Amino acid sequence: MAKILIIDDDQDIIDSLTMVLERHGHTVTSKGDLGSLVDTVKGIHPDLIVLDIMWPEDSQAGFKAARVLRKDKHTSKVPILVLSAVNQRSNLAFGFSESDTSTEFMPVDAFLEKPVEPKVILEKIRQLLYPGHTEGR
Amino acid sequence: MRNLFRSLSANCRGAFQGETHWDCEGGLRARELSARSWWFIRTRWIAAGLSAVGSLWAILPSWRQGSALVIDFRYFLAVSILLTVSNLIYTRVARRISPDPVRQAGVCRVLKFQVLTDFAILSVLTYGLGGIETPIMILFLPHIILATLFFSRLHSFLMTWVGILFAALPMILEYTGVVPTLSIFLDIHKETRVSSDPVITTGFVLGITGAFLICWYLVSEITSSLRLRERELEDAYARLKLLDTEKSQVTLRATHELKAPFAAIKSYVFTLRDGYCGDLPEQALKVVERIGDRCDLLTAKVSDIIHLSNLRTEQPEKVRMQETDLARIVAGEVDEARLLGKSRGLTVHYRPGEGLCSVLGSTEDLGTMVGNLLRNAVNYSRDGGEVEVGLLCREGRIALRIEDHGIGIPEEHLPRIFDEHFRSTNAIRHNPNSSGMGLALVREIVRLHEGDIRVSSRLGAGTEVTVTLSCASQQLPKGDDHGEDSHY
Repeated sequence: MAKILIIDDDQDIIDSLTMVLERHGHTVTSKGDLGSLVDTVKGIHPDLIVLDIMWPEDSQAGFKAARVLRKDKHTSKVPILVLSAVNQRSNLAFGFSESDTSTEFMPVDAFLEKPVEPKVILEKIRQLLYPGHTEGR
Repeated sequence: MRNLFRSLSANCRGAFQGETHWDCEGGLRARELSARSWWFIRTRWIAAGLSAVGSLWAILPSWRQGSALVIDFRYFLAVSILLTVSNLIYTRVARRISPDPVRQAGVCRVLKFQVLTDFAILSVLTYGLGGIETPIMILFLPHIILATLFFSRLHSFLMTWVGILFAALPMILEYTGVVPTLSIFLDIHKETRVSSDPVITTGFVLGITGAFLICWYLVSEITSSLRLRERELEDAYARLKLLDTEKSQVTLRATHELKAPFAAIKSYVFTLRDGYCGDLPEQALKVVERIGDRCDLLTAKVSDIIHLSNLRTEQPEKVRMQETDLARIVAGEVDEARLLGKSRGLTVHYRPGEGLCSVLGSTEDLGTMVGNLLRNAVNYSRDGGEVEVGLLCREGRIALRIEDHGIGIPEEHLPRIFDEHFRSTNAIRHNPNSSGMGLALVREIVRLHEGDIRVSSRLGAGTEVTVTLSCASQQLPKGDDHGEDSHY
């Protein structure tokens, strides 16, 4: 099972996700701020990062953090799963989707909208960790 | 739209870096300067042609038969050649210097050279046509006016003085004997030439100086006022863009702040429901599920309220319109509606008409509009009922018709169905879990797309909604897959 780092400013999201992920055998570490991010990631060596986008200090802080992680050779290969309360099909006509990912602007691997069904996030994590593998193989 | 974040970034860059590119001297913008430069070149070709005709007139005796004028063709020829050569050079330079704001200083310089070249050529022509014997010096005035429009007040003032110098130069040189005196009249006596008279020469020089300076003053006053007005407009536009960006940021933040707590609650609901916190008694599980449902309802309501307030402050001309295939949107939403109605045995028929056109619109908003109408049709149909969806293009308009055979709307409630939060009593009984925002959103989206919406309903018999929008110019290709219903 994988080592997953959850980076979110909402402790309730961290706690509920941790419950789900740990039950399925993942090792979860969390971080409630974006300070010293690269060092934290280097220290933990996660297999996957679950990252929030909108932070109190900056609406795009998550994307900026993703760009920083992608630039560092030690953290650039870690898959990033974005989890945001404002996401695709948000009915507000300004959601984003996985088609918006780009090396420059949104260097992330997948998007999910909060709240997320446990089975949906587990499947997405599986796809990111084992790309090309189908369920049950 | 790709996403708000990207547009926010772009708007911020535009607003702070400034999208207006004024030239180095506070005159016209680079694009306009470049256009004027080309205008100059075209006009010069006409002048070169006219000078060539003038040369022929001066050379061919048959052309000037009976005329009392004697004009040395060499001056016309020289002017024609000078104009042609200079214009070839300026054409080449103008092609190289695009209206790129970065190169606007280059456009400024080229225009200055063009005006100065024309002054020099006009000076030659003035001399060749006998100095003050013809009104040829009037041609200096358009150049002074244009220079005042092109350049800063100081630079245009200096250019005006250069123009005065070139205009007066033939007379000064003739008077001082540097060049021989020329006359275009056959029978004029040399001694009576006006250029030989110091009073006339001085008076004429002072006269053109005054006329040119008055011309410069008047034009520069008007130009300065217009430039000031244009700058104020540019500033106001930049402020509006900034406000628009700020509004989007505030909306985004508000949406996040309102949705995030519900997302956290719903996450806990998921963990409780799926047994991550241990098994729950059946009664507790039902309560948890109801908490989750209310959470979803509140989240949807918050989204709808913010979306509606956003739409209400939008103007049709400001919405990011793009050519949109409404038929494709309807097909996608019909699929969603079929899924929604499947458990209740509902059938949704979709019949896109022939020769459908695209519309100019916001894909996301149109999706919301169609989705809300279809959800209403499904939600207020009876179990096992049918919903009919049609799309028809006629006389430059496209009409979306959605008809259900459900509970209908009481006649007295029809005028209020577009009010936010309004729900008719039979609707509340039939489907308690609705925000009452759907049709308010639909009405705003139709308004933004400058369309028309009509609703007819009979209590207990069903409701028919027709939305009409203007077609975009392009008609969609035949045979495109619009998800036509095979049952029809």
